[in-house]
Amino acid sequence: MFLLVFVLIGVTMITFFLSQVLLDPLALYMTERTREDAIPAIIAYYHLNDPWPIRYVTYVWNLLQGDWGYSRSLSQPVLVGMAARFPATMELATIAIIWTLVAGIPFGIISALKNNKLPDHVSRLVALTGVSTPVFWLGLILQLVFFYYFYLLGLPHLPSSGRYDTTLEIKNPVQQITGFMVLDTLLTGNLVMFQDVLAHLVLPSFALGFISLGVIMRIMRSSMLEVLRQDYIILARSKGLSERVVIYRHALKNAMIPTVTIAGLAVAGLLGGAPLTETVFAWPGMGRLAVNAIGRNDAPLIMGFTLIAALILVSANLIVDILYAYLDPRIKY
Amino acid sequence: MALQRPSSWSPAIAELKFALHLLLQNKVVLVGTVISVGVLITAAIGPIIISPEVATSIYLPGRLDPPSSAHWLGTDDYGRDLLQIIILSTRLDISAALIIVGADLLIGVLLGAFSGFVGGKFDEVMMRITDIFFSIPGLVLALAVAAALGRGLNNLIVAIIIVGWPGYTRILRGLVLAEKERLYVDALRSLGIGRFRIILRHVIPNTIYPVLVQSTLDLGGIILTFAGLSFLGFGATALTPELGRLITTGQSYIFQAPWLVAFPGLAILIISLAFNLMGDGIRDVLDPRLRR
Amino acid sequence: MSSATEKNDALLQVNNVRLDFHTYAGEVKALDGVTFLVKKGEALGLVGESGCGKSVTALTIVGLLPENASVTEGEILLAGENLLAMTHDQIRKVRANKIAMVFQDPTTFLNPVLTIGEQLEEVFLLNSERLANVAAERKIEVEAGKEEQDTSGAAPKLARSRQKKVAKALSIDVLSQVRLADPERTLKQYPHELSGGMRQRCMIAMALARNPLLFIADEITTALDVTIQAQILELLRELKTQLSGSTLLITHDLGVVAELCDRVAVMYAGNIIELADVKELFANPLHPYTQGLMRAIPMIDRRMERLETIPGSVPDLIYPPSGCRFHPRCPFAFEKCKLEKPELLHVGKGHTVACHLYGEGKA
Repeated sequence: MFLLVFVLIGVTMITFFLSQVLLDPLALYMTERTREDAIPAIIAYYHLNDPWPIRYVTYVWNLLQGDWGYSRSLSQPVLVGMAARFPATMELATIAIIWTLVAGIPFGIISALKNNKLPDHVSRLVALTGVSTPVFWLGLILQLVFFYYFYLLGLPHLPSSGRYDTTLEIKNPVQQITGFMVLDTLLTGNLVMFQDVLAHLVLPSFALGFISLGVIMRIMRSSMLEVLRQDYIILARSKGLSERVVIYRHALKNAMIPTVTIAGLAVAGLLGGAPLTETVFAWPGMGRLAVNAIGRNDAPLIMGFTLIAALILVSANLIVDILYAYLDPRIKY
Repeated sequence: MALQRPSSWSPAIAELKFALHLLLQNKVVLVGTVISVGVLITAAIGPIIISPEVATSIYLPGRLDPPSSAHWLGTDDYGRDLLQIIILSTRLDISAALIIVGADLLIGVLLGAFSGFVGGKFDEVMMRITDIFFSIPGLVLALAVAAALGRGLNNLIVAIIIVGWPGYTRILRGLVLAEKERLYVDALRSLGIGRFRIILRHVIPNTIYPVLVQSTLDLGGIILTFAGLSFLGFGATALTPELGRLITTGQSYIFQAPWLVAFPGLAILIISLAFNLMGDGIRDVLDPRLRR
Repeated sequence: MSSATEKNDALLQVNNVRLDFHTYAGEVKALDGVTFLVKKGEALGLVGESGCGKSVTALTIVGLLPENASVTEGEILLAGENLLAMTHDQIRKVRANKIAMVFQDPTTFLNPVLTIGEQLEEVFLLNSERLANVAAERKIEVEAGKEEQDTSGAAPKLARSRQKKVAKALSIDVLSQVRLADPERTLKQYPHELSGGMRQRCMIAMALARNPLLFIADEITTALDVTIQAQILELLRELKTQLSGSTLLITHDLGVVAELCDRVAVMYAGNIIELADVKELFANPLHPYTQGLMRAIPMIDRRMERLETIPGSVPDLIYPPSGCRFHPRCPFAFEKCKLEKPELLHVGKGHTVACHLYGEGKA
């Protein structure tokens, strides 16, 4: 717990260093309407001329209050801009990790059970390809095939960009409840938009998740193999239990423990892949925001994205720790 | 019947048979290694066989031609032959990846060894620093650093190096912690040999093996990161042959000239796959043998 | 004693079992024609050094060998049926009902993420049809309720919810049988929360739960402290009087054998080399190896200046010695020993030995 706080502080040190030391510290807090004569006041308020420790503390204090700087490309405070696009990224990442786990865990188990036979070799090849594929290229190829070529061939095709069809949305307005459009359309019974939103999610979430799929499959396979070698599996078999019971009751829970830990790493991969995927699919999320900010030299936005990404990753690892404690009774918190 | 006495060679021969069996069993790994070596050779001699001027020879009338017998992979939007450009690009991508891994190894090994061996406050601080680095997703941090440093190839390489060193530090620190308990370390200390020399000349050589294995596994991922950030606009400029960059320009023409996206990406995939296969194979051959 | 009577008394008959392990270093000829039998209601001790094949024999009986093992010859008869010829499902039934095994290390053999209760109750629930019977045998009350009456007169089948309750009650009962204080609490605990001795008792309970015909104990005290060992042995002594089945006690400790066993089989390098009643073996060890073992034990009632060891070391089973596998270390070896492997011959008083020193005995 304490470690988490410390780590987050450390992250702020990095963003502080990058934005205040390497870059123009004033740029973080100036808007396009700031007048020349207002600058001294800004410098005083943010303690920009004071010694480093004071500057840093002011910086963090402002972060905690929600003042993450101003984004000139958005004409908005950084946090506001980020918050608006937060649901889009979270929805994409959540769907991606769901399908990765839903596909990866069973395939990993099968791979372990049919060790060194054909399903295992196929699985391992898929996993290996997954970790070797550039996510942005995969996204582009998916667009090429499932949007363009399917369209040319007269097949029903998937949309290539955006979260939803804007013209369709005008006729079927979506009520914002959670910010997750899948949930919102479902909760309000807006089935037309529900389908549309899902269709838009298919390609980007597949691309984003494909890399993590390989990671999850491999760890599930290796931990399952490791568990099946253990003595307590021999005892379970000696009781006369069926192989199914031995695998799903005795082996699986043990094998999930390392997998859950690695799933935390997979989240890191997803957050890293988000800027690339969102760019390719014109997905209105934080990742694309950060990428656009590069072109417009909007450093405050990029730093804001870094902070949020770190926050999300830390939270995900916290969840992983909790799951770990739940699975393994030997761990106590 | 004559007695069958086991010769003193049989254990060693048995080990060799085992290793060979593993290698042969893994034809896929063999393929990966062969391709990796092929890629390295291409990267090295590419610019020698194909003149680098190809990169700057723009021929607009012939731009965006589909694959044909004249241009096996088609041409890009400057009219350059795609196959040649891809071969030229390997030089940049591979050398960038090697530099990054090399630098990360150097920094990581040194810091990790000192951290593990010396312990104390230095070690504490080092561990906390690596913790902080681990809590930011790799590509995101590289993006932030690259943005702060400014555009340009060198800055991109530096940014990725900064992201990667904590991993090796952690691994090596763990190994050194175990190694320093071994008797020879005490023996050397009692001879009055300074800690620096002990670490550099004795401890590091004994613990570096797993880290080297890990670095071959990491090569594939680093190539992907580098290409990804190049795709986003960091690093190489428009005419410089680089695989990620090619895909950026290709993106604009994706529907009318898909080869511009497909082939460079395929090249990245193959290179990354080859390195991953080779790294996997090396790790597999070493691991279970140790366990047996 | 005629062999006809022997066969009728026999619960488990191991006949000439040969087993190889396929490894990259070569073929390990682990079992080289193992033959012995366990009579109904008796406790047979199987002794030998580490690596002589005792545990492998036990695993062969229950069919839990690793993948690289293959039985090349022989049969194992349990009440007449050959276990080695059984299908996977058949042997599972045998493990569930007839043969129960307890292993050496209670730390690694218990599943760390399941409670003791879960690991124990699943044994009872495996035979859900017979639950009512089992409950009756242990004199556990089955609460009255909606039960499916089987008109053929067999025991009534219990509803699912009832099954869990009965299984729990049975688990508590068997845990008290192994002398665990506070069985109800133990059911909810995880293996790492218990001491080594308690864990071992739990494993024994899991075996008793099946009320097996044959109870195999594979070095069950080896991983425990001496004081705990004594407690477990005490427990086994008590259980021996209560149990109707037979026991195969595998150990390298002759002291344990002396305390608990009726008969003893001595094993060396994959062969049974001597078999006798316990008292007879200790009084009159015939095989040179057995004699060596006896001499190596410190005896409290004898003056000994040195503990004698058997010279040499355990043979390499990939290239085992020809003829009698013990001959390189045997002080009495002669020509025939190198050439011909000795058969187990009966030399009187139920004592059999495989050694060329003892010529033709009475069959």
